[in-house]
Amino acid sequence: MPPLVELAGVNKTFRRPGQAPIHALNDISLTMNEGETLALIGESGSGKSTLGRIILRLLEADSGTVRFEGTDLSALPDREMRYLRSRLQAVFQEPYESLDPRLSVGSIVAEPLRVHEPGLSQAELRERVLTCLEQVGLPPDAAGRKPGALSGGQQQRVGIARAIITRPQMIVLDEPTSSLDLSVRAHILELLAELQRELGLTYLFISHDIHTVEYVSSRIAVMYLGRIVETGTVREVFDDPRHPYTRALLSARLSTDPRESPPQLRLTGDIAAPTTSHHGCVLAGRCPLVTAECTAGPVRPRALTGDHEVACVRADETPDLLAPAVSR
Amino acid sequence: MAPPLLSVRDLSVRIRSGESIVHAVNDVSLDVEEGEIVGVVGESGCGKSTMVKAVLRLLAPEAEVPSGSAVLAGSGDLLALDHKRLRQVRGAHVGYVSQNPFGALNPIYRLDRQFHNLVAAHRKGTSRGESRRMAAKMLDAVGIAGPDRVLDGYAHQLSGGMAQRVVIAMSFLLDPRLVIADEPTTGLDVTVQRQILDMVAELARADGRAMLLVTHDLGVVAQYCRRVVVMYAGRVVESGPVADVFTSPRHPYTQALLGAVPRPGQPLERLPGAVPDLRVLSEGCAFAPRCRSAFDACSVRPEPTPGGDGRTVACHLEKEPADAAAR
Amino acid sequence: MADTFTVGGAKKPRWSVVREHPSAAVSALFILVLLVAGTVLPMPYDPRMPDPFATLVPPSAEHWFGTDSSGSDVFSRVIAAAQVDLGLALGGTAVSLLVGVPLGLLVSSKGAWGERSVRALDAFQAFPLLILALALVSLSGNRMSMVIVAIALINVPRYMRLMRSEILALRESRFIEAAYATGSSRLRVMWRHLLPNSLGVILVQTSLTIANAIVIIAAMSFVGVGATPPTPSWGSMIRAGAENMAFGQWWVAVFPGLFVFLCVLCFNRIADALGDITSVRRN
Repeated sequence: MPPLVELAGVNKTFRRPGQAPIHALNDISLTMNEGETLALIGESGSGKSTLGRIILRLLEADSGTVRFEGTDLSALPDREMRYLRSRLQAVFQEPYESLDPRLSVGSIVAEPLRVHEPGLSQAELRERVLTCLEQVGLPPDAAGRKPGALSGGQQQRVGIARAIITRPQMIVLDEPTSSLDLSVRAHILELLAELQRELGLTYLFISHDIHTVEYVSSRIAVMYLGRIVETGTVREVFDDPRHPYTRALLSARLSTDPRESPPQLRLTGDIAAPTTSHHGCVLAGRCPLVTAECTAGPVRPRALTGDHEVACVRADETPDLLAPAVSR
Repeated sequence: MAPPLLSVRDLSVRIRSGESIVHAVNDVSLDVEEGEIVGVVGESGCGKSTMVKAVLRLLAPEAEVPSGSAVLAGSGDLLALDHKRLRQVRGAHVGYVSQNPFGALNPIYRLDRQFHNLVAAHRKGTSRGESRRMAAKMLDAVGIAGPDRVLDGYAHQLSGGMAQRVVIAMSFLLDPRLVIADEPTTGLDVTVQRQILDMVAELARADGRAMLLVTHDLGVVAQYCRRVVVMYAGRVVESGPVADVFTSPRHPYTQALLGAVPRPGQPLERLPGAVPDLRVLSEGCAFAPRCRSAFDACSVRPEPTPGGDGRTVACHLEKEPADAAAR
Repeated sequence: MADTFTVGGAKKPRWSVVREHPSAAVSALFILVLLVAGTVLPMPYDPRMPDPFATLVPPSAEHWFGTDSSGSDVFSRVIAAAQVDLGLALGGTAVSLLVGVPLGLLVSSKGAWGERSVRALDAFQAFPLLILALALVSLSGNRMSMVIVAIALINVPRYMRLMRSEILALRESRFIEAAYATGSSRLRVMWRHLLPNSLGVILVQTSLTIANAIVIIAAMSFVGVGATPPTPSWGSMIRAGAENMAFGQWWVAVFPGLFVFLCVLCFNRIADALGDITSVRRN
């Protein structure tokens, strides 16, 4: 089966007059298969949200190709791209910000239908919207309310309803639960899982939350400074992280079990400015494993076993880099 | 045993909002002992931030504190201090770290001057050179390499993580015995969060100091706090040593909260309903409408009951476990 | 916009708007009365009829606001002038709005074209527009329609700027991005999201523009441009009355001045209330 999404050699640089250009994405290649949840994980400035926007074509890549169901999106005329959006939807981080505050919930959810199925009668539209609200666990009377009158969790349900009403193949979820409380987050995560099962959805789940990513995803791509440094199935990456950045990131996670305090890999220094261009590995300046080879030239991802790919020249070694756990 | 460093008793806060009154904090009591970090956890609107703001006397004018005390060892009841004494205590005896470091730093002054102002406010006649030496030493302690460059710059030149380090350095500068930190690492990246927490924890536990750490992040509490206070709807529902509370939570809300942490292969605990409207003061347990184990006794509010093992739980299931089990 | 999903009872009754903004409601009523009073209500005297036997009579039961140096009743003239002045102000503002908003939308595109039009606007606004307007009206032989053009000349660039800054800010909102992500076209995003969400700011600006236009019109007729005697207008009345001020006959200038002041105050109150009403409240 051909992949649902295929990115090859995608680059994106933001240029601002009078300021240094920001290298947001650098030579990104990635595939997504139908029905899977691929998590894009990384810290701020890693380019994960930019990548999501490029797949949605809310941003144009400077170079490289983005294929959705085999179609090259960058070559698609605007009109056809708009049509394609019914199959490629999005849910954003701040639920309130992403809903037009002046429209009722019903109108917001109906909006994609009005665009993609303009032939529908008012009655059919209403019917579809109410069904959809029910699917995401909102009461029918929510349709008449304004987004401001709903709780954060309900607002995010509205965002999800808007994304699924055109029956898409794929949804880009950009930090969909980051601004929500823990108990609300649990509902939204379960709802997303349920909808994926029922509708056969493919998710690109963008997040910085390691707990959530491990819970929801089937595959993971770890990003650092505009590059994908490691990809693999969730178990490959979590059980045997090979890139020093992945190891640092995963070991920085704070377990909620006070008995578990695994040792931590600490990187030296701070994340480099995104304006810096790197000749070799982006982590070289902070990496405890750095060798001359790391800065000699570009470090490309290479395959280990299974689906596991790591962009590190020393990916085959597993030296003990871990500092002892914190004391209480 | 020495009296606790901070002892909050029966603290309540009401906030006027239009024509109604929000009962944001209700009868909260907690202690912070020397050398420990106490975590306050709960979800948005549970009153945790309002509670510490009340202790620091930083509430907005719409808020009033009808009852309660917050005794800081050696300084007396913070809630009863006059303004002159309060200014002496804040900064020098109690440090404060807020969630947004940029809000705590003045954008138009160089950081060097802000450190000096802080020192001069409490120790009259301190020279610029002296305050700068103190600042540089503290910045070094919070892991800022090259403090001089930072001191000669402005707040906006710092990254979020660096700015929070500067604020933390300020809060520890005058060697306060207690530091109150309200979501100090929320919004920071995980690797940065971990560095900052490691550093803060080390500072806070040294030399008989202590810290009250408000957070919504259960991982932070589990890894850095000795004791925890769990809040729901403006009340303390459970408190005790983290090692016990997090491994065997007794209040149904604490159980639900811990159950909502994503763990691979385990279904997520989904708490039904929503947080109660705090404009209405309920007669019964505020959690009862969402509680799986609610029974008839829950129409009367359960009092926080100490269990002898350092744990306190405000739930009727505690008193009548047999009764509850028989249902 | 008709909303299929708004259920009955969700909207607050209209009266509550009046109750929450009493001063704005009174202001609106005052303006409305002023506009129609000249035609609907019987005036004690003909505003254009001089009475050589009753010049400069101080305010009394007979002449509420007194009479001017030609013996015309100041009260009747002030009321009659309201129609002229307010009419011109409203007309000028309407033209500014109808021209400025679409042009503003046009220049709010991102990129070089928008930037260039803003620079053109800068150059245009650097020009002393009030003087240009004065010249325009007086050269046309004091045609009333030119007063409206003059008001538009001053205000169209303001509307364009306002529209552009508002739209550019809204464009950065997440819900606009979300609208594009659902497949809405640019035109649809403009009509359904950008325009309705900038409506509040436009309304507020319109109210302030009217207040400003009243002052400009008064200033123009004060220097003898636009509405000139015998047409009653506040500006020319103040001008005529200014000569009498030195002799203690204050009423000729003060009453029209008071009405200019009241009208400006009213439109400012209305602008405040509109700002309140149109801002979306969060929960």
